[in-house]
Amino acid sequence: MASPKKKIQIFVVIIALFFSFLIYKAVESSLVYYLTVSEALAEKSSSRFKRLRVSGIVEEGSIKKNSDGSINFIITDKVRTINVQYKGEVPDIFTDEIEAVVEGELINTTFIANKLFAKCPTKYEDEAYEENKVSFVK
Amino acid sequence: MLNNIGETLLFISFLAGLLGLYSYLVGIRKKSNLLVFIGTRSILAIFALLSISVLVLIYLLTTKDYSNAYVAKNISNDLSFIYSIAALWAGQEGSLLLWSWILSLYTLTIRFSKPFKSLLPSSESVSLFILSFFIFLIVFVESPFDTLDTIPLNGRGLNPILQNFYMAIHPLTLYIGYIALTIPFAFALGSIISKDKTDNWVLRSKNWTYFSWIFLSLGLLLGSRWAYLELGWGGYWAWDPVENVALMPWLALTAFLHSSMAQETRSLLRRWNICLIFLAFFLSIFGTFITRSGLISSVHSFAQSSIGPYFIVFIILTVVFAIFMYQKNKKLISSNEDIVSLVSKENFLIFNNIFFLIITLTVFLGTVFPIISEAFTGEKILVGPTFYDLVNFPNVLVLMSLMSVAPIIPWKTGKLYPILMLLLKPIILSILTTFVAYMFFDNFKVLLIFFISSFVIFVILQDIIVEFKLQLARGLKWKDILSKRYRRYCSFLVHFGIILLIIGITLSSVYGTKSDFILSTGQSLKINDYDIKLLETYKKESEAKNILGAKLLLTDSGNSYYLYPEQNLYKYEGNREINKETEVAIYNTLKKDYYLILIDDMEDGRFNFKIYINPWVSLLWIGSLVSILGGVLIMFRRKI
Repeated sequence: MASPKKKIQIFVVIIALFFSFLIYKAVESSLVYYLTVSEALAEKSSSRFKRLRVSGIVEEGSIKKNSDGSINFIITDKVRTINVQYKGEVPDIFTDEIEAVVEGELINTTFIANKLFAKCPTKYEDEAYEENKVSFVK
Repeated sequence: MLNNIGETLLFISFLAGLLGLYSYLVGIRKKSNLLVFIGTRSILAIFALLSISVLVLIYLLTTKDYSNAYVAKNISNDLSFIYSIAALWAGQEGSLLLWSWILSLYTLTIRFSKPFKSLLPSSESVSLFILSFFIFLIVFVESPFDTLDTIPLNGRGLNPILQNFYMAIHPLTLYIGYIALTIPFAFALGSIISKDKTDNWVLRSKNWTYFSWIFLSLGLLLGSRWAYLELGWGGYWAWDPVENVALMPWLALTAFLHSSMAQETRSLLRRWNICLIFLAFFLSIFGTFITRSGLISSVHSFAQSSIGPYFIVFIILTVVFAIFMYQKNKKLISSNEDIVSLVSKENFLIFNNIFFLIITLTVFLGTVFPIISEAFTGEKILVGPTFYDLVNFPNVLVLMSLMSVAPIIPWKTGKLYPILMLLLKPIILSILTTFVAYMFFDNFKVLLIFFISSFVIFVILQDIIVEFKLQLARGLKWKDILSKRYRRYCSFLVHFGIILLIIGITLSSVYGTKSDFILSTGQSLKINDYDIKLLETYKKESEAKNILGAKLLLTDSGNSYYLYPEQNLYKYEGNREINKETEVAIYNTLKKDYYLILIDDMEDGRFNFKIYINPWVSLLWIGSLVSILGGVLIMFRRKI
């Protein structure tokens, strides 16, 4: 008979194997690529990107409301731009010139988003905000 | 003037920290009581100095003295008195000052741990080292007393989103809980440094860990409640990095609260417990680092600044030192006893720890996944909420099953057969319950959760009933039985709360629905099994904002509810980049939350809405509160 300590060790190994496998599978099924606008456009022919998350600055004056309640807007990384279509609730801080993150699929040249995040709810500080902008432009 | 005073006070407290550290280092080595005494006095001095600094900053904030850069950034003329005080933890510098002050208060109380005098100097020096790091940050990197050359007439002000009851208490609650983890860490490391062979540090840490657990739980609860009420933060939990890093220390701490029982009762798992409390502390520092450095992008991005690199150096130093001391002295802390049988409480506590750690690891992996993937593949890849759901669901099932069996298994050797017999009735009852539930719910996941939940509850009930029958027959009074089994019953209460919480999460995520719709005034619509009618819309103007509101009537199975969603547009004030605020209309009932958002005025007489029906979210809040209540009762255990 193996000692209780041995048995526990064996048990731990089995559990670890099981969860490693589960984690592997879970990662595989929930992958979301996080890209900039240019990267997304450059990679759009590639089929390995099923779901994308793209971040960019909302171009000034580009937010348009459609009659079905959806909105269109353009995000940019100051090099290239993507036209985004989104339907759903819009975060309060979503407006021109902020950094937006959209999740969905890129179909032809339009990004059909079903999630929209806007960055900075708790960003209180001016300088930090400015710094961010600068680093983004670079 | 006051700024200079504040700055000077902080600088002196930093010097006091250095002096204290030096005195402890030499004092402990040379066993000099005088030097150790100087160390303890320096902690007292730091506490006094920081207290005055905090008061100075509060004074500057409430009098709206814009010569101070921090005040100008976080306050504006129209801000009320209460939020002016809350602005103390709205920005980076103020948060760090508050953090240091709380830690200095905690460090000061270490010396009142009288029965364990031999542990004190080393524990205090560890805590003082960490405190000195935070004081270093506010003195040299992020000073809350920086001045502005030109004094603005009005400050930048607090975001409308942050002018909120939850803002006033949620961060504070989390800080209190997070920082409290430093003390058990200091006891553990102090015990290793001073080559203490006893279990004193665990006994001494017990109340600190309960205290920390209560406040962390409360902080998480308030945070998820806030995210639920605030639009765009993804509901009560979204597996966002900032949420994750707050959850991880809680998970490690909860694991510790369980495994430390084995050390208290049987002096087992002695090394393991030290590692666990190290882990909990490191995770709390890691969380602060992640939220403050902006390393991982989050919906809740915080004030980002240059403190990141300092944190990395600090974390590495502390981790290396802790591991070095542990390796050096671990022979002294080997357990004297061993686990005799698999059917024993200690073994089940180990299982508990394994699964808690798997959840912690899962959350950790998911959180840092973008960093890892970028380092290895050059691409930023995220894992979505499905990742956490997939891995954690089996984990939670196992932990819930453990919750039923582990409390009733005796220490050392339990015999399998009597325990199986004890479980027989609860199993039968919970199968019956699940069949009844099957008439109302059709989802496999839900039924599985119901089965295990009712199993846990029946085991608890059976345990209480059997105990009471037995003891009453022996002539004991109700009160005596309660006080005899006090801790056990409190832990049942905690477990019961967790069960409610899990049921709430499961039901709301499985049966939650959402719909988009557009209505013009007077129009009504049938969605699923309820009707909704737009009665009127209105525009109001107040001093601070323009309000666009709507009044809707929702009828669901004979009950009518009026809902008033609003859009507030703040008039431009200061330099805020956020001026819009969506007021979600929520009608809470026990069974369902009606969660209605006015998205937009379509400007053609129609309005755009979104409604979420969230069933049984109430159980989530009630369950959390019950659990926390259980924790509070354990901490203040007294003879009734």
